[in-house]
Amino acid sequence: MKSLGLYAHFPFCPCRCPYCGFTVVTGKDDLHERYATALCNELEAIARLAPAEGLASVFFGGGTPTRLEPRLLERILTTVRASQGIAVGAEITVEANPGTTDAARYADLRQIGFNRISIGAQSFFDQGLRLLGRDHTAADALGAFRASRKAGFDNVNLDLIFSIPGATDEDWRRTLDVVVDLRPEHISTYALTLEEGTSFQRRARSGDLPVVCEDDDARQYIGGLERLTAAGYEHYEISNFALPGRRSRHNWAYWTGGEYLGVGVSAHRYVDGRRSWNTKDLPDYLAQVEAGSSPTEGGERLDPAAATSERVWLGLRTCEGVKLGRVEREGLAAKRRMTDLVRGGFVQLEGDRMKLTGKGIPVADAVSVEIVTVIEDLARDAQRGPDPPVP
Amino acid sequence: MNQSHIRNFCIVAHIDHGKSTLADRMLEMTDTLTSDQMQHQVLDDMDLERERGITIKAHAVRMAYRGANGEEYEFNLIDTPGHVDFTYEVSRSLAACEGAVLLVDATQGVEAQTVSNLLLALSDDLVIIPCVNKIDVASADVSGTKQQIVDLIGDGADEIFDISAKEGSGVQELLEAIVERIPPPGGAVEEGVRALIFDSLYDQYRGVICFLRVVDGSISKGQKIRFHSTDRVYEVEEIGILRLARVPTDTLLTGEVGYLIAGVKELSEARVGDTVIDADNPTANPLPGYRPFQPMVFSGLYPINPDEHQDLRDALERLRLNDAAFSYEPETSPALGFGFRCGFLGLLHMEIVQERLEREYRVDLITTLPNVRYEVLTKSGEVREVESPALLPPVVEIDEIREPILEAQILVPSEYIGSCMRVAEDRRGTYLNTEYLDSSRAALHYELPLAEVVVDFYDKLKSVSRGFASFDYEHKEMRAGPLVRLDILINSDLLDALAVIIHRDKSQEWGKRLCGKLKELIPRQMFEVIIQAAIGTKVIARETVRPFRKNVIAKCYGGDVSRKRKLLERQKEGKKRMKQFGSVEIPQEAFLAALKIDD
Ligand SMILES: Nc1nc2c(ncn2[C@@H]2O[C@H](COP(=O)(O)OP(=O)(O)OP(=O)(O)O)[C@@H](O)[C@H]2O)c(=O)[nH]1
Ligand SMILES: C[S@@+](CC[C@H](N)C(=O)[O-])C[C@H]1O[C@@H](n2cnc3c(N)ncnc32)[C@H](O)[C@@H]1O
Ligand code: SF4
Ligand SMILES: [Mg+2]
Repeated sequence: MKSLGLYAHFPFCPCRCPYCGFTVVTGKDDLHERYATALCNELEAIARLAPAEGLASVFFGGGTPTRLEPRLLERILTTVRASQGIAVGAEITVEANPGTTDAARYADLRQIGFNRISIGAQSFFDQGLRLLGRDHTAADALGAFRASRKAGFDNVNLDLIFSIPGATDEDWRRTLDVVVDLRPEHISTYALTLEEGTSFQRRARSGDLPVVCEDDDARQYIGGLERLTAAGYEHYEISNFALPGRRSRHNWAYWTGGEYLGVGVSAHRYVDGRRSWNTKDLPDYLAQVEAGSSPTEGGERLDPAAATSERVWLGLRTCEGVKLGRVEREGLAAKRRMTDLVRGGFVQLEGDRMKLTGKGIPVADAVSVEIVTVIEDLARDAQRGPDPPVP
Repeated sequence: MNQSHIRNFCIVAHIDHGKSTLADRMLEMTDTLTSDQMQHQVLDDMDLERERGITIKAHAVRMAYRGANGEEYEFNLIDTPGHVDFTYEVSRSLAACEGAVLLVDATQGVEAQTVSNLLLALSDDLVIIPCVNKIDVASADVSGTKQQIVDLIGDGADEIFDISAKEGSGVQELLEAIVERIPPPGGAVEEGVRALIFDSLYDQYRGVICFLRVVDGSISKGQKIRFHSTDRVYEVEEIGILRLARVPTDTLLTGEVGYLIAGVKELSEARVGDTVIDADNPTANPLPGYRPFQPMVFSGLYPINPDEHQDLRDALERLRLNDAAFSYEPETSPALGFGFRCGFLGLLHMEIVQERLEREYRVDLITTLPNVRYEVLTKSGEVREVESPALLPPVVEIDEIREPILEAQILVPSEYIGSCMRVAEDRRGTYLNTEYLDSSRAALHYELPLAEVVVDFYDKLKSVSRGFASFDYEHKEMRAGPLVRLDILINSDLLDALAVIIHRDKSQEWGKRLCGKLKELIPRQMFEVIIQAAIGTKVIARETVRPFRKNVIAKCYGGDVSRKRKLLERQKEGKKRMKQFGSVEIPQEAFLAALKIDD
C-alpha cells in the first residue's frame, strides 16, 4: 500500500500580512475551540485510508496553527492518531510564526508530539520585515529559532522571502548569512509573489508598490541558491533546501504524485487519483461539519494526458526530475521543441529520468510548458498520424 | 401596384450621418414594422453591423405609404453604407432607384462621401432630395450646412429638408416629397422582362438569392428566365418582396424591387449587374451593368494552427459566397505555411472579413501586413503583377516597380488645412490644388500612392483635424518609383510575411520602427530573439528580445497544484495563438505590427 500524508489547515492569524493570499481569518479567536472540534469531527468522518502502519507524515499549516492553545492542537493530533494512525518515525510538522509564539510554547509543541517545526522567519533584516508588513522583528525570528532548538526540535525549517519590493541584493545576502550561521536542517526561499486579492497586488497595480523586475528576481534567486548549496544544503526543489537526509517528506509527496488527506477549511487532498478541496469559507466549513455533512466543495480527476503532464511539470521541480517510460522518451527525443531544449541546455536526460539543468531551474515553468506542449502533440500524433510536412 | 404609384429610392450620406436611423423612422411611420420588431438601425442586421454601429451591406425594404392625397404608394427603400470601402454597394443600389435622399449631418457639415455619393447619384440621373439631419443636436449648424449643400448642388437644390432622424421631426414632410419629387419608374409592362440584379447573397438552404429591380415587363413564379451574361436558363422557384424578411408573391411588376430564387447554385452564376431576361428571348438588350470593382489591398491569411488549413479554405469559400467583393487564392509562405492571399476593398473590409472568419468560422488567423498591387517591369520587358512583397522578383531582374497612385480629395475646415497638408506630404503626396467650398471649408487635391493611404492615413487626418477632415479617392494610374523590398529576419531567418515594398527614402526609418515594435510585441521566451531589418543583404536595423531570466512560481504545495495547472494551461493557450517560427514564437499581433507603428 502506498504511503499517505495528512495536511490540516488552521486559518487563524493575528492580522493579515499584506502579501498573504492564504485562507486566513483575523479577530476570530473565539472560534478556536469550535474549529478544533470540527477538525476532529471531519477526521473521524473520513474512512481510515492510511496503511496499517499509519500516516507517513502530518503537517499542521496555516494561517497560524500555533494560535491555538497546545491542548487543542494535542486533541487534534490525538484524533489523527486514533482515526488514521501515525507511523513510527513519521514526520510531524507544525508551522509557527515568530510574532505570536513565546519560548514556552515551543516546548509544548515538542511535547505534544511535533518533531519538525517550520518557522515563518521571512527575513533576518528588520527593514525587510517592515517592507513585508510583518508584525515581528529579526530578533523575534532569531529568538523563535533558538527557542525551538532549546525545546528539542532537531528538524527545523526557516521560511524566507526574497525579491521584497524596496529591499536590495545586500539585504538578501545578510539574511542568508544569518541563516547559514543558524544552520537549520531545512530552508525554504520564496520569491515574493503578488497573490490575487492581496493588498500588495492592489498597490502594485496602482503603482504604489515598486515591482521587482525579472532580472533582479533572477539574480536574488540564483544568489540564494548558490549561497545555500555552497553551505552544504541540497537544493531539492525549486524553493526548498535541506541538509542531507532532511528533505521534507510531507512536501516531497506533493511533487512526486504521493497521496495525502486534507482537513480543515480550504484544505486540498489527493486520494485514489482524485483531487478535491474543502470550502474556503470558515462559517460555511463549521456549519457543514457541525451538521454532519461533508465540507468538500469541489474536485477533479485528471484525464490520462493531463495526469502525465502534471507528473512531468511537478517532477521537474525536483532535483530528481521525472521518470519517463521508453515510449515517452523516444517520442520526446524526436521532437524539435524538445531537442531545442536539450541543446539549449535547459533539460538533460539521465538514464530514464529527465531533469532541469542549472540553466533550466530558474525558468522551470517556461520549460514545463514547452515539454507539456510536446507531450500533447505526441498524444495527438498517436491518435491521427504525424504532422504534414511543412512547405 | 400601379406603376405610377411606385417610388424607388435610396438613402446616401457620409458615414454616420444617420441613414439607417432615418430608415427606422420611415419604417415606423409607414407601419411597416410592429413596435415589437423595432430597434435602433433595424436594417443593420449582421452582428458586426450592430456591434460597430455601421452599415456594411446595402439593405432593401418595401413600405406602403398613404400619401396626403389619400392614395397608397409602394416605396422601395435601399439603405446604403457610408464607409468609403463600401462605395460599390452605393453605386449598385443607385441603379435600382429613381431618386436618392441625401443626408448631411448638421453637426459635421458636408464631408467627402457626401460629395462622392452625390456625384454617383447625379451621374445616374437620380432626383436628389437633400436633407439636413440631426437638427435636434444643440451643436447643429443648420443654416451653415444648408449653405454648404447649396454650394455643392447649386441650382438643383430647390428645397432642403430639416429633419431629425432620431426624433422623427421633418420625416413626414420628407415622405411626402418622395411621392412628389421622385418620378415613378419608367419601363414598359408589355415588353419582355428585363430586370437588374443589384445584389445577391447565398443562403445555405435556398441557394443564391438575387435582389432585383424589374425595369421592363414582369417576372412570375414558374416563369423560365435567362441570365444575360451567362446565358443560363432557370425556372423561377420563388419571387417576392422584401420586408424585414422575404415575403413571397406571385409576380414582380415593372418598376418593382424584390428578390428571386431560381435554383442558382453559385454566386458566380448570378453576377451583380447582370440582366434577367425571358428564356425564349436571348437577344434582348442587357441593361447597363456596373463597373467591376477591384480589390485595393491584399493580405495573406494563414491559420495559426496548420491543421486548420482546410477549415480556412472552407470558411473563405463560404464567406465569399456572401461577399463577392473579396477574392482569395492559395499562397504558401516558408514562414507561415499554407495560406491564402486575399484581396479587399480597403482596411475596414479586411478587418471585417478577418473578424467574421475568426468569429463565425472559428479559425485563428495570422493576417499579414496589407499591401497594394504593384506592377513590375522586368529587364526582359515583361510586366508582372505583384500582390505580395514576397513575390517580388530578384532586384537584378527588375527594371522598374510601379505602384497605384490615387487622386484624392480631402475636405477640411480652413483652420486645419496646414496640418492636413503636412499629413499628405508626409505620405508622399503630390499637391495639385486647393478649392474653397466656402469661406471656411476647402477641398485639397492630392496625388497619393495608395500604399501610403491603406495604413491609417484616414485616422491621421482625423486626428490632426479634430475629426473634421474627410477623405475620398479614385484610382489614377500606375506610376514607377524608387521602391525597394525591406525584409525582416528573425534569428537570421527570413520572415517573408513581414516583408514590405517601400519607398527607398522611407525604408531606414521604417525598418527601425518596425524592429522596435516587434521587440515590444514578441514576448520573452526560452531563447534570445534577434530581429533585423534588411534591404537585400544590408542590415539597416536590429533589436534583441532577451530570453527569460526567471519564470517559475515559487510555491507548489497541495492547494497550489490545481491553480498552477490552470496557469500552465493559460500559458499553453497563449502559445497556441502564436506562430512557431524555428524555435521562436511570434504572436498574431506581430504580423500586423506595422499597422501600429505609431502607437
Ligand atoms: N441626435 C441625433 N442623432 C442621430 C440622428 N440621426 C442619427 N443619429 C445618430 O448618429 C449615429 C449614426 O447613425 P446611423 O443611422 O447608424 O448612421 P448611418 O449613416 O446609417 O451610418 P453608416 O451606415 O455607418 O454609414 C447613431 O448614433 C444615431 O443614433 C439625429 O437626427 N439626431
Ligand atoms: C503557509 S505560509 C504561513 C506561515 C506563517 N503563517 C507565517 O506567515 O509565518 C508559509 C510561507 O509561505 C510564504 N509566503 C506566504 N505568502 C507569500 C507570498 N505572497 N509570496 C511568497 N511567499 C509567501 C512565507 O514564507 C510563509 O512563511
Ligand atoms: S501570518 Fe502567515 S498565514 Fe497569517 S496572514 Fe501572515 S503570511 Fe498569512
Ligand atoms: Mg447605416
